[in-house]
Amino acid sequence: MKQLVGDVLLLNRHTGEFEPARVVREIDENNFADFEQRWRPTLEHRRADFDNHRAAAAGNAQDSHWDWVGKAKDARRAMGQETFAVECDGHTQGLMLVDLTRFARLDPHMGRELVYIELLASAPWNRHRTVAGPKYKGAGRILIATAISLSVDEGFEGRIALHSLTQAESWYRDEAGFTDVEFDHLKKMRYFEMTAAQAAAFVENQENP
Amino acid sequence: MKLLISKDWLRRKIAADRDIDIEAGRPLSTAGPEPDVAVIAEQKVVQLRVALGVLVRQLRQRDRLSIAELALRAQVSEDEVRRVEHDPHYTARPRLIFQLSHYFNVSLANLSQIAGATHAVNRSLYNEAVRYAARSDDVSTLTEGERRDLDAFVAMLNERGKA
Repeated sequence: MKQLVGDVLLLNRHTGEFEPARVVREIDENNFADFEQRWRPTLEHRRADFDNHRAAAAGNAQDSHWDWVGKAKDARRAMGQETFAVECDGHTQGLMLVDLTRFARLDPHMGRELVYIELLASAPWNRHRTVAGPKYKGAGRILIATAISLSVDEGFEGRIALHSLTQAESWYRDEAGFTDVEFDHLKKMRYFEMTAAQAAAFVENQENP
Repeated sequence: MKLLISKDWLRRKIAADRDIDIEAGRPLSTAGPEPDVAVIAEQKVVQLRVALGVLVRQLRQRDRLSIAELALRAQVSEDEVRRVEHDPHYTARPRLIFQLSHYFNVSLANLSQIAGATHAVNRSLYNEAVRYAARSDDVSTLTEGERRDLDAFVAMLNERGKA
């Protein structure tokens, strides 16, 4: 059943103002409807503008194939999988699916559990490279912070990991502070991991900017 | 679960972030059915899990433990141990692999690969595991030859684990 995790803020790029939003755990029928009726048409329309995958990546329409509804329903039944959403202005502004059954590759906690972010996406109308004049900024950062919070709550000390889409690699490495571990030849994506210390730095207090 | 961030933190960080998209997950260019690859991967996983079953059974026999005794000492369920030993289509939970790795002092990374729990498998590790499984007989006690093979395989796993 959907649960409120916490109240947050998103920056409305159009007005320059922060707006109240919330993070929820276990996405529900409203989020499914948002994805099917609002996300997917935008993504598919955008993808249709391109004639190959590389061009689709450039336009950040790569995830139009993601079956969020199916994956979220699977997660309800599966041990070790969780879904989260950022909601604002009555709609789903970001989605995340995590897996709690993976292990860290980095010292000093190699082999210990972590929260692996299977899928993370902001709504297509919030994407700088998908639409002209994207609306909300911050959903991705909030979801990364949510994954760290879950990791701490599970006793994993903040450890998280993910495979980044190409256009996001520099943010994960240079701004979020992940370690760029390696290129995963099977997934054809770079694998990033955040240690407990890096996670603590990510959610640092505002007194230590 | 409590969010470890404040609204002040969000105001400051979001305002400072570069305006780029930060999606994560498998991209479209690698999604979709790849039947040849999937079939080969599934066959390899089954072969690796046969090796895992042999390894766990022989380690247990080496230490003269029943399935119930191993389950108790490694803090896992008897059913899981039984299925890992005998069912190559059984997907072992990460916790089981972790506990067995810890109990038998075998490299977790390599044991995870043999369990089919990783996306990629080292080619030479795969070859060694398949060869090791092929040499074993399903009998209740270890022969001297099997004991030598077991020791060599565990040593190889742990040597690779250090690399």
